[in-house]
Amino acid sequence: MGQLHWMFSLIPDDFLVWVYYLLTGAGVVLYIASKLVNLIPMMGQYKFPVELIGVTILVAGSYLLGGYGTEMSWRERVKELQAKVVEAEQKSEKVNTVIQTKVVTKIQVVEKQVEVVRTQIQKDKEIINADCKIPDIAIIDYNKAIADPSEEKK
Amino acid sequence: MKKILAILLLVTITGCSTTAPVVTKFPQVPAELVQPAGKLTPLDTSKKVELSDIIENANENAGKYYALREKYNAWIEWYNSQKKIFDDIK
Repeated sequence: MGQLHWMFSLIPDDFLVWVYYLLTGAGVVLYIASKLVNLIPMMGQYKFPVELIGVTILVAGSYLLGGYGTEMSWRERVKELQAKVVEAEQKSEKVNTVIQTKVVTKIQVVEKQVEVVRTQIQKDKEIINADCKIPDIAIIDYNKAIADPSEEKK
Repeated sequence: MKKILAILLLVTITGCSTTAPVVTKFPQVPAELVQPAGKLTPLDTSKKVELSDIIENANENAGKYYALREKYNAWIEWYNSQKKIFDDIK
């Protein structure tokens, strides 16, 4: 069925749609003719074949016409969605740039703050250390508190 | 005749089936947010540790925490923004 659609896609759409309309129309005409054929003398024997051909052509025409209409409406929908996706991707990139700039700026503020405090500690070092003796156990406990629990499990 | 008609009608309906080939790319993440988190710095026990060293170490580790907090908040903002953008595609 896919190959059939591909072959049809090579024929210009405007031409195809007219063929589909003609087929459907011919089907309708033949079907109506099959109902009227009894009115013409000697033609009654063709009623069934004409009806069968008419219905077959009508169904084939409807199938192709319906398929064409669906295909066109989906193509339109795909085009619409693709445009929205492109727009969304552009918005997404803009948002990324904003977030990247924001996070870099905020981290710079943090680093600056750390540096300011470090300088202040260096300046106050003598006063801070003047009356303070740190027992070794305090340092061991402090490092234990900092140690990564997920690494200790390994 | 009715059976033939029913089969033909069924075939007609299949003409309406199709799939929409719309491809979306997964959104990129800012480079700053995909860096792995660093470790906290322990006190250097190879030399005599003073109170100022402890405060300095706490200051450095607090800086690392705040930098990570900014990245974490940025991840939340990134997710919410991207979700909103891609939810709007309808």
